[in-house]
Amino acid sequence: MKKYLKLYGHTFRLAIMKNMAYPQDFIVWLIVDILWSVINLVFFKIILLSVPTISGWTFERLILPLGFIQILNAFIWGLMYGNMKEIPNDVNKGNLDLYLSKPANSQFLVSTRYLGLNLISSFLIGIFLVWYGLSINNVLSIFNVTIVLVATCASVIISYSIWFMIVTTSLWFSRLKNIAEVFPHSVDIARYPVDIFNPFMRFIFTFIIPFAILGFLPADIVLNKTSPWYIFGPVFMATVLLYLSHRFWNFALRHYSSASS
Amino acid sequence: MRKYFAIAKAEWLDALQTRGEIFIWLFLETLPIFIMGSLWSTNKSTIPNFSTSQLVTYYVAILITSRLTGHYFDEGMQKEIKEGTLSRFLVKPIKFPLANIPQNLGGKAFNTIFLLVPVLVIIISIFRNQLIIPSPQILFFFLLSLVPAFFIQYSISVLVSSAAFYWEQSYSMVHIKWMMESMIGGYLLPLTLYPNWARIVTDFFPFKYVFFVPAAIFAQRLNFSEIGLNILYSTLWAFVLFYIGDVVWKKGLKEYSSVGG
Repeated sequence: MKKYLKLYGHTFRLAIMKNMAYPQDFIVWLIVDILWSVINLVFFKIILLSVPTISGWTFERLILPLGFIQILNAFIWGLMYGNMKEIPNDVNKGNLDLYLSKPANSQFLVSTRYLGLNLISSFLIGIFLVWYGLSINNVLSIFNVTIVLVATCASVIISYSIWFMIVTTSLWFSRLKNIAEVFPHSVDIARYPVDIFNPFMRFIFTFIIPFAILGFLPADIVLNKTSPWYIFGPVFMATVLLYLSHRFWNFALRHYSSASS
Repeated sequence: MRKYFAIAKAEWLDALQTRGEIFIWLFLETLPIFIMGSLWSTNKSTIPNFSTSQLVTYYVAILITSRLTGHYFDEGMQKEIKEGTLSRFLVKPIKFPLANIPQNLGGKAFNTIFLLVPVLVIIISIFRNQLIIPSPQILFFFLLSLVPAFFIQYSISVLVSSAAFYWEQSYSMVHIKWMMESMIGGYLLPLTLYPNWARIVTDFFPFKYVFFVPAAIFAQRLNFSEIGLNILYSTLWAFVLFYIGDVVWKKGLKEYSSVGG
């Protein structure tokens, strides 16, 4: 464990150095990221100018799940995307060998190579939205903040595990270079209450590909619409999916034949 | 003319080479329409100005418009300018950046047959009870509105690409373009849902002629005099932007320098 924390620390330091080497770039991307976050909020505000609620969610209530998704997106695009999109390329070019031959867990290595620190603004805006969502709905308490923290960790792990399993299939379908795009774009589903979908899709998005529990389940719990015990659902799912992603990666590696010389 | 046809053919062959990726794009293209269709369908009793059918049809039209008029060369071209590899295009006996048009059409021909048509079949089967089938007359005006939209998109991409001649952080301009298209172009939401003051702001930019106007024609939200007037404005914008794009590009080329053989 200590070895992996040290390794991640190195990656983190390198990312800071890389970002600070081009400070203007860093600042411009921070601004771009803030603008996208604003657009996201304005989008829902305009919808709610036309309709009173989205499946019972007013704008004040929506701020909370939107904050969750904002934080999740900061992890997805900042910590995961750069790594995930490189995996199919590595398989194609045979670069994966480089990671397999190192004395560390290959799943850890291929998942932690790149860090996009410019997504820090997204992360901070997400935290602000969650705090504001808790305050405006009068549910700001230590208990709810704990729920938020647990739910956020579970959502990040669930997202990582599902995405990693999808990308792992590139060991068989190496020509599908855009396979890494599937998950981050599908997370868009999590921005909406699952009740907008038909019953069949609602089932899929709750139990099969659990987008519904990434943002709206924790918000439901915190806003007292659902029992706090439901938080164990995402935690259990995160544990199982993380384990499955590890097993699936090892299984896939047995079918991997290198393309390098 | 033969050389431009060869460029289009090369792009078609290139798209054919990566045809496996079509399945993923198919999914990603269907997803937003599915989400927005589901969102508006759940609020069908409360939307003012727009019927649910018109809204669902609007998003289908946005998909068709985006597929048939989109230009995606700006990001790549900026990279060529920054890395100095643009020179390889400049020494060829072709007009540049005009050569992007046949290249774009070659890719579009492939994508229309293998991507757009299957996506439309899926969407129509999901929302078959809610879609408005346009009359031949409306379809004609819709397709007519796509011609200036195509050239507006092209010219904006030339302008965004040209930013790389002058500005180190020009990659962010691509995001600014996407933001403008999303919010004031009507890509995310029909502009008629916006408050009055915001709608007035959109009138000062060309983006609404790229997405909102063609989609509103398709969804039968405009009468014939409005259609005529909007197509006229759209054509004027196309001419003006084409000219500005040409001037800015030529000026930028004077700033451009590269090394290497």
